[in-house]
Amino acid sequence: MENVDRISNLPDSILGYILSFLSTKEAVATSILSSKWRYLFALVSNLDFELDESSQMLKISTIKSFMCFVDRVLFFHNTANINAFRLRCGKRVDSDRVYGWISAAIWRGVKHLGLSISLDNFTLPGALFTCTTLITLKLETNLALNVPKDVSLPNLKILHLKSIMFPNDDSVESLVSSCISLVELIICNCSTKKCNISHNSLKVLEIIRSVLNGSLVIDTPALAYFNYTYSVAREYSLKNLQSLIRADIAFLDIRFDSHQTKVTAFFEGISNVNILVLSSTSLKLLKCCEPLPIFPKLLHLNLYCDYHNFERGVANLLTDSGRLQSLLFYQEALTNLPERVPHCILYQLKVIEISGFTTNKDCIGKAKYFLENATVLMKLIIRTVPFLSEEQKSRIYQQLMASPSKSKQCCILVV
Amino acid sequence: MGSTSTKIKLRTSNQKVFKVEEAVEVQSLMIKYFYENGCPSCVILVHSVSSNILSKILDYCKKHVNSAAGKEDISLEELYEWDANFVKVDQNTLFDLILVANCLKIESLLDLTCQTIANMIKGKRPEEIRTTFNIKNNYTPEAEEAVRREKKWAFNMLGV
Repeated sequence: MENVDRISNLPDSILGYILSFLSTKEAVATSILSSKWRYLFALVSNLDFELDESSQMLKISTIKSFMCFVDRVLFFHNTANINAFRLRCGKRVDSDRVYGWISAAIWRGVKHLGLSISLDNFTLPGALFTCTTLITLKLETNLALNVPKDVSLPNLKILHLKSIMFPNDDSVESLVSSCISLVELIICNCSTKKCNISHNSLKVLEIIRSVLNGSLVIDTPALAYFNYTYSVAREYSLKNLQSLIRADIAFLDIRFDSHQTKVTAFFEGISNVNILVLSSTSLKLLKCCEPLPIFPKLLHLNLYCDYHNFERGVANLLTDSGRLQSLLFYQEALTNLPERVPHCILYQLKVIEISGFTTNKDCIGKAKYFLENATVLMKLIIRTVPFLSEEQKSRIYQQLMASPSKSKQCCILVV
Repeated sequence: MGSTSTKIKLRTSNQKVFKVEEAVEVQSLMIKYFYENGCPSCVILVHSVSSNILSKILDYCKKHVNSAAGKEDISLEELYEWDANFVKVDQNTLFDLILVANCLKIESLLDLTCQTIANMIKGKRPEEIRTTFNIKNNYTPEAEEAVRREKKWAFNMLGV
């Protein structure tokens, strides 16, 4: 039994499936094993091509053989359908070939397409924008993208746009509204004037470091997760976010005064959220809002410190979030302990995590404040600054254990 | 073994007949298909396997059905770890599992086992792959050279 070649006797369909877990290069390389394996790679339904052009030493012959390789794999490839096709290459690959490869993938009904190309003067095949089989499209390119008028991607669920410049004002809007099944949209490092995202089924939206020279309009009744990481846009209109569960907000601006109205509109838009993660800059902006936003459904609040810029003033937020169950914050974010203990601390808070903790009195005082007031607290987690010794940590632990605690079942962790 | 309403049986090619347990029914698209198409009592032919393999398959299905139904308190990481241990078996067992998973269309098990084989190929030179799986190189030197020329790019990159 030991010397039997069982793998080569598996049905071709299974062998093709096994090869699909390898990179295309590795799958093709198995053709050298024996004659049985010579054309097995042609059964692979996931194709993945990558040419790393970052090295200056890259030889022309290597680029040529890469292009030949892609040509050949696509030529030999004999399954009717391509499940996934991923292409990553830079400026030195022949753009006509790239156009041909993408067209071939679309022609064979590709479902998951990932393109990362940085060619000059390249136009994506028009068929890409009317491809009915596409479920995932991840597009990263230095190109200016002109979205054609007849765009229609009826089955597309996941759309990632990276490093793209949209020269036309309504490009994002027409692209998004044409994808009727869309569930996830990530816009990263893009540049557009207007960004209008109105969609009925969209659940996940991330806007990261994208230049918005105009307004950001979001009207997405099904949205559950929203991530916004960038400067303040010129104008916000956030509507119908009643399904929002979690929002991660990291504004990168620090010019506060001029943003008051815009940011107020922004936070008002997401006020239905259950889980809120705020960078310290965002908290600073939030505090400038007029009126101060209220988050009546907030259950979990996580405040973390970006850069060295911590923001004080958790207290206000606590007063207005009556249902809050868990709170994570950088210790310096809380300066004034509210004299009138907020309702959520008294009756709701179950988990508190304080980071950036040191041995000073002030820190201990804050932790004690929660212990003394939080009736239903289950867990108090103290994350100390990196330079504390084990001995110092255990002293913090003992001090907190010795202090009176209102909750009967609270466990304290110092890490 | 609990109450199982199943009437579907498996017959291996060495003529052994096995009753199908409920957990397998849930995981197997093939058996689902038989039920949905009004064939609640029939015999599915599977590749020649021992009862040992079928009981391993049952273990797998039970674990996954129970954790999906929340009957068993197990985190996703723990389940991954369980899976990883599940496929720490000799090659013969692994190939038997693949064949049965394929036959009964138990997709997650097919993924798991095929991925395991793929990992055994990954990063290896052709000679190492041949040794691992007892593959005989039946190319003539000329034919091997021709294959190499054909796939120059792939071999260059792998440093072969």
